[in-house]
Amino acid sequence: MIHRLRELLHSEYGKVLSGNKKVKKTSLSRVAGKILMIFFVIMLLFTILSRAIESITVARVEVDNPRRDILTHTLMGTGQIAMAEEEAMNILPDYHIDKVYVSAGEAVSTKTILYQYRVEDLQNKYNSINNEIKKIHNQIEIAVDQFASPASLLSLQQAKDNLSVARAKLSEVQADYEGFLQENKKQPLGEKNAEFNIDLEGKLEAVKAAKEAVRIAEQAVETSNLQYNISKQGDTDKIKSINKSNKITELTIQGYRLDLREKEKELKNVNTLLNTSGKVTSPFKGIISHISLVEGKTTMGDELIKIGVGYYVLKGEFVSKQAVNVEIGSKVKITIAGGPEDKISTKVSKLRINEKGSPELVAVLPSGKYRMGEGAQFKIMTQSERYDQCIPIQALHESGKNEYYVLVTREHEDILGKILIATRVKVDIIGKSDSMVAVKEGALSQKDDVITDSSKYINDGDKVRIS
Amino acid sequence: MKKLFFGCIKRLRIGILIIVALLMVLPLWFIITGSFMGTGEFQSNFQPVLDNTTGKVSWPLLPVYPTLRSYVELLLDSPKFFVVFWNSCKQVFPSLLGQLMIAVPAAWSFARFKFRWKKALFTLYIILMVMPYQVTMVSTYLVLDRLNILDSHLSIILPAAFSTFPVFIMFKFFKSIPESLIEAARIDGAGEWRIFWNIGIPIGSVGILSALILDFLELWNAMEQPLNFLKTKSLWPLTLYLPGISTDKAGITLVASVIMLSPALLLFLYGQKYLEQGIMVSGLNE
Repeated sequence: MIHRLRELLHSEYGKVLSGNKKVKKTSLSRVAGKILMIFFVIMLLFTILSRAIESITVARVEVDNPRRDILTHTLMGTGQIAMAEEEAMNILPDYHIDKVYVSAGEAVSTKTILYQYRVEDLQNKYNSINNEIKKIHNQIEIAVDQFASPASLLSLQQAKDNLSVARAKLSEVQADYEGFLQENKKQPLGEKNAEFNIDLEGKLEAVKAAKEAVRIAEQAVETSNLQYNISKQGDTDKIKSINKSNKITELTIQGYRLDLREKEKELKNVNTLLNTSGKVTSPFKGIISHISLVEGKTTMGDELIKIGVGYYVLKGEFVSKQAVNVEIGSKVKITIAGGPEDKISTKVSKLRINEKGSPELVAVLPSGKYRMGEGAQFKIMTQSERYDQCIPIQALHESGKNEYYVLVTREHEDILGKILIATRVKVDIIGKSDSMVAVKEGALSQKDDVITDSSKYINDGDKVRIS
Repeated sequence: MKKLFFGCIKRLRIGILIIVALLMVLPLWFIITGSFMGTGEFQSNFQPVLDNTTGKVSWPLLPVYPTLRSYVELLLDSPKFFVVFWNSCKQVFPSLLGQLMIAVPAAWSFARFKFRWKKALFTLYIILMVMPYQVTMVSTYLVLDRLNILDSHLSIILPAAFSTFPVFIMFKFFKSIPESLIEAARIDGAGEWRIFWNIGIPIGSVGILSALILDFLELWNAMEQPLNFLKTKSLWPLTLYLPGISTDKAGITLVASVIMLSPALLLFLYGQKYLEQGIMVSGLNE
């Protein structure tokens, strides 16, 4: 059977070799060959086509890196131009007036000296405020000491202190013992007499005693720790009352600190007056319309100097939430209705609550032609402190109440090679302006590409490409 | 009566063969018809399998609502598929080219020359050929690691280029060339290189083609080598891509299967004759 099969195979193969040196292709193999070629061409075309489609369908994104930056807050609003007729000056109470240089009806400029305090009086005041500051410092120190701790905690602390002392002592005597041994090593054996042995024994005893002291201290710490844990469980009420008293002390300290700040401010003012020998100049240019200061008398606090100014101001209401870091002296850009944008540049001179109960700012306008009641727009740009990680506000997404996230691009190894995937990262906001957001450090790194804009809606896990 | 009996037996035999042939063709039929099924129809037919629950699975002979959706999705919306397709090509065709460069001269040398240790060397070739991949896997891995070509297309191409199987096939063809023909060429003044190029290759072309077709089929379907030597996904061939497609895209898997088997099938149809001869010769025992 095998012999027959072999013969059959030989004859078949022989036919092929002899009859068709160039094997004649059948029509089926010819067609298959052609289709195979076409197949690879089609695959090539579809490869190009699918890549082109993908480049269209994958969202193109714009990214930005978190960076150290200052947030710029912009407060915008409208107001009206008004005439400021009179400005008042407050006089500090309890100061002796040495001399008054002006009287009602007199024209003054910003350099005109209005009155003078008595220098000795100012010096006394300076010393007395200084003493008061020292006193407050002492009070704060005393209050800090009043912070109570449970007795068991104190004893635990004491035990821990004892242990560290015992350990220090042990290392000291050990060093002494080793030093003694090193010193006597150089000495020949014969010279090591009874005195050496006695000393060595003494040193060894000292080391032993120190070790024992450490052991006892360690035991004491353990016991105190145990006692503290027991007392913590049993004396919860006591601990509560201690906590309460600590809270009161904390509030007292806060009060002292407020007083301290006030006094320091007062001291600074007195110091400024001392530097000008007690002379006070006019803050406005105008005509004195009223002065109630009397030479040689001590001020009561109700004295007043009024100066008729007669210049124009802008009065504008604003929303206090939007007025971040706006204070007296902040720069204001004003656009008069119908006039060129941001033409007038001045500073905030007053921040107050107006008769309607709304916050209002007043900015003195530079000399020029104005009309009473004319509408104007104001813009105040203020800057925050420097934040370590700021991102554009459009990168921020809200996922819930006060919960925010950003999408960052992360590289992934894929069949297509390295691809970029939009990944959701939760962030905590610590500052916000109209264009930037400051986020808490930790969630993002400076190298992260934060998605700020995309050609289509993207979500966590979507493939993106940076445009 | 006897004629009628043998006629019945013949019909019965043909009937049984048809049934067996249908059973053999059935998986291919399912793949092709399944590739035209819509997602909804596919899911309703295979719900228990997809949901990993118990129940009946049905596979209709023809899809109720045939659609080209899966083809469109794979060919136009899956650039990953083309990456792996061309990866397969990048690994298979250079391997075959390597085999042409290495195996043809090697087979000619074994068939036509006499040299010391020839038999031992050829036996070594045969041993290497019959050795399963799993046996040589670790040593191959270590060699590729030392050559620093792991996780690259070369890690697939290089071992395949030095495959011993085509040497064995081609050896049989070259050996069958009559010695008298070679002698005649020598008398006519042909050198060894001319004999190899003008006589050996044309006469042995059938063997070379059959070896290449057989190796194409083996390399096109290779799974273990890429799995062991390629870590980077962007280098994976089709064989590793198919199992990675999720069950919700099973329609795409079937389309990918159809596309994957197409070149193999077409090449088989193209070189069926050579292939049969190759198999025939490799079965000969002189």
